[in-house]
This record gives sequence, C-alpha cells and structure tokens, in this order.
Amino acid sequence: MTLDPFRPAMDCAEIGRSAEALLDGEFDDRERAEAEAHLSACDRCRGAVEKLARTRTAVREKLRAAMGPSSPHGRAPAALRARIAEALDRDRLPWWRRALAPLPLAAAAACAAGAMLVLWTHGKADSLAEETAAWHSRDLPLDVTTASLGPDSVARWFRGKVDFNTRPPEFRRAGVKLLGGRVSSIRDRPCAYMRYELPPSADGAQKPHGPLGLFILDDPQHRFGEAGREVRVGPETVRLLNARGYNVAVWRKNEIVYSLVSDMDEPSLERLVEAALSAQR
Amino acid sequence: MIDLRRQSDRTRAEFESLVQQHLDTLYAAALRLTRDGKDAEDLVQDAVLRAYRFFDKFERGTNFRAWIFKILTNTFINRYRRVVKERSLVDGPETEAVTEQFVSREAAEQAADPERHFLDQLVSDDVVKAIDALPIDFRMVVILADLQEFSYKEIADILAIPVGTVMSRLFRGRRLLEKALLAYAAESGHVTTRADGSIDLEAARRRRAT
Repeated sequence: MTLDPFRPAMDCAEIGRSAEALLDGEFDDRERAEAEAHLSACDRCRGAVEKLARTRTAVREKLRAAMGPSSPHGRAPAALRARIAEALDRDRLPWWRRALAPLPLAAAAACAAGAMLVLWTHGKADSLAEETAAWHSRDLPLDVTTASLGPDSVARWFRGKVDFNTRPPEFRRAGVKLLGGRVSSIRDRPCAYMRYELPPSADGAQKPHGPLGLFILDDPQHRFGEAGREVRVGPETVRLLNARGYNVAVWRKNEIVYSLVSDMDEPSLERLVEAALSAQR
Repeated sequence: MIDLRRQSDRTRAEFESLVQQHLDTLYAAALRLTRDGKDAEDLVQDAVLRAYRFFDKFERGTNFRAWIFKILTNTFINRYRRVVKERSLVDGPETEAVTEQFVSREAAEQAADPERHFLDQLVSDDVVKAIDALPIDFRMVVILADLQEFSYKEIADILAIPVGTVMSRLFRGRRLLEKALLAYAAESGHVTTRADGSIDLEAARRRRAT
C-alpha cells in the first residue's frame, strides 16, 4: 500500500490517542498502514504499543479463564436451559391454554426439556472437534495478522503465550494462505489458533469456502478421546469428524494435538491434510 | 385467529438453536451485570422470551448475537438496574492520553512480558471481583469488548450510545480494571505499587531474583 505523500503522517500523539483502537482492530486498511509506517520508524511508540498489546492480551486471557465458556461463571446452568425450554413451550400455546396454565402440561414440557438437555449435553460430547468447531465458528478477530507480522512470524508470536512450540503444518504448497493467529482456550488450556484462507475453488466448488481454523494444543494427559473415521497419512493417524456443520481433522504428534476445522467436504479436507503433512516431512 | 406470539415449529426450532449457541455467553454477561446467580438466570430468561416474541422482527442473516445482547442489556437497564440502583456515571472527557502512560514506562519492562507474568499470579476469583467492582457503565463496555469481543460499532448499537462514548468508557474501564487486577496481584505479593499508584516492576523483579 502506498501512502499519500501530501497527507501528514500519523504522529506520536495520534498513535497515543488511538493505540487501543488500533489493537482492537478498529482501523481501516489505510489507517493501519499509516500507523504501521509510524511504528516501524518510531521505537518509542512501537515499544509502547507492544506493551499495551501484551497487557491487553494478558487481561483478555484472564477474563476468558475466569468467565469464559470453560469456566463455571461462563456456563449457563442446566436448570436455566430447562426453564427456558419450558417457557418457550408455554409461550407457543394459544392464549387460552396459556391462561389456563395447565400444570400437567408444564410438567410434560419440563420432561421434554430434560430429554432435550440430555441430547444437548450429549451431542456436545467431550470432543475436541466440537469445541474447536464452535470456537472457529465465532469468527473472532485475530490477535496478530500475517499482514502486520509477515507469515513466518505468526508461529513465533505464540512463543511465551502457549507452553509449547507451535509448528503448523506446511499448507503453503497447497496454496493455502495464513491470515493470522490468536490465543484461544480449550478446556482451560491455552491453545494456538491460526486462521487460513483457501485458494479460490480448491475443490472446484461454486461457493467460496470460509476460512480454515487450525488449533494446536498440548495434551500430555490424553484428555481428548479417539473418535471419528481413521485415515493413515504416513506415520500419522488422522481422524475425520463432523461437528457443527464443519468437517474436522484431528491428529496428534506426541503430546501436541492438532485440530483443523473447515467447511470443505471431507475428501477435500483429507487431501489437504495429506498434502500438508507430507510436505512437512 | 392470529396470535403474534405463536411461532411456527420451524421458527421455534431455528430460534432455539440460535439461543442454544449463545446461552453460555448470555449467562456469563448477565452474571457480571447482576453479580448474582439467581438474578442472572431471571435476566437471561426474560431476555430470551422477549427475543422470542420479537423474533419476527429479527432480520435473518444479520448478527443474531448482537441482536440478542441488545435485548439482554435493555432488559437489564430497564428492570434490574432500577432494583440494583447503581450510581450511573456521567462520561467525563478522556482525561489521560495513552502517551502520558508511555513516558513513565521503563525500557527494561519491554524486554520480556512482565504483564502476563504478574497477571498470571491472579486467581479467577480476583478477576471476577475486579470486574464486578467496576462501575456499571464501564463494566458493560469492558464485558462486551473484552469478554464478548464485540466491535465498537456493535457495542454502540447494543447500548444505544455513540462510538466515541464506547471508546472513552472502554479506555477508562480498562485502566480501572488493570489497576484493580494489579492491586490484587500486589496483595498476593508479586507486584508492589509506588506511592503514585504506578507499578514498581523493578522492585518486584529484584524480589523475584533473590
């Protein structure tokens, strides 16, 4: 991106005022480019923004750990789910039946809600595929982008933020582009999340595919169970599952578990994983 | 006879699946707004029922999460806030610029990642206490931005306030939260605060080294 030479460049004061907006991803492309131009030239601002970014990431992680979906403060009690299902049932009844508010019906609704609850919690299973697919589907903003750090620095950026080396598979030969990364949390453990963009029509599909989400986490206790269709890729066993409308490939390298979430069809995902893992060897 | 509140089974299924996806985050936000488990459940239930009744007004394909959060915060402001009777804050000007803080920071701090290290000492209870201690107007924007990760524009829509107000509340709310978190960390003996309230990382470093 070229900058307008006649436009005054962003100065230290402007960076100071808007550093939070920059980190919150609120800048448009041109503003971001101007800010980055200034930051690459000004050590003091860069240091300050980096510090602000570290604080922001650390505080957000703390918030997620304390009240995010994997904490007790971040999960709706089962009784609330049942109450809501029951209230919705009641609300759907015609007015005269609601007015009569027949108790047996309410009890029946509660039972139905109970059955549904079992399905919900059961459907959620314990699976890594479910959790990562749910997380990926939220499409959260990235902490770092390839555009700002360069493709090789994203994996390095995770150093110190997760307790293991993030070595993502080699997707580049398949034309898959790294967009950026962010720290995620799967069952209270920090986890590296990287988002990739597929090349147009990777499998000849009409509709462009959504981004790929790659999760890397360490699992020394083997908490994540074995499920799904098994496929051998060289020495690796890759499991293919379906979760929340996504296809998910899960594989393990010693203590490190990888989960790749995509809206591609299963054969295409399998081919991509195969290509990426064999390129790595 | 047409009863507007009756929805077809398909609509009900669609609504229920959307709500199911967001129920945990709705509850987490409600819990921090009301600071009470029972009130939070009531708030979520009220908000979900209201959303269900107005579901025909929801434009399919737009942001359901922002839409239902708007209903949640509205329900909270209209009903629970009156009961809770919290002091509402008048937005002041953006008092401190970020640059002022930059100047007082030592270059040495930038070497490692001390913020993370110190905050790592905190237990979740302290984090919850620090959030809950924020005045309600700040608490709302901090939760929406840093826990729910809504954009400034979405938060402005949800709370029906200008984007500029979102930014100033977020700025002040975050500084208050960081201050509270570091105070808790200081209490547990990992960080010391100087008389002016800033953090003495050097002293803490020395202590760690010994």
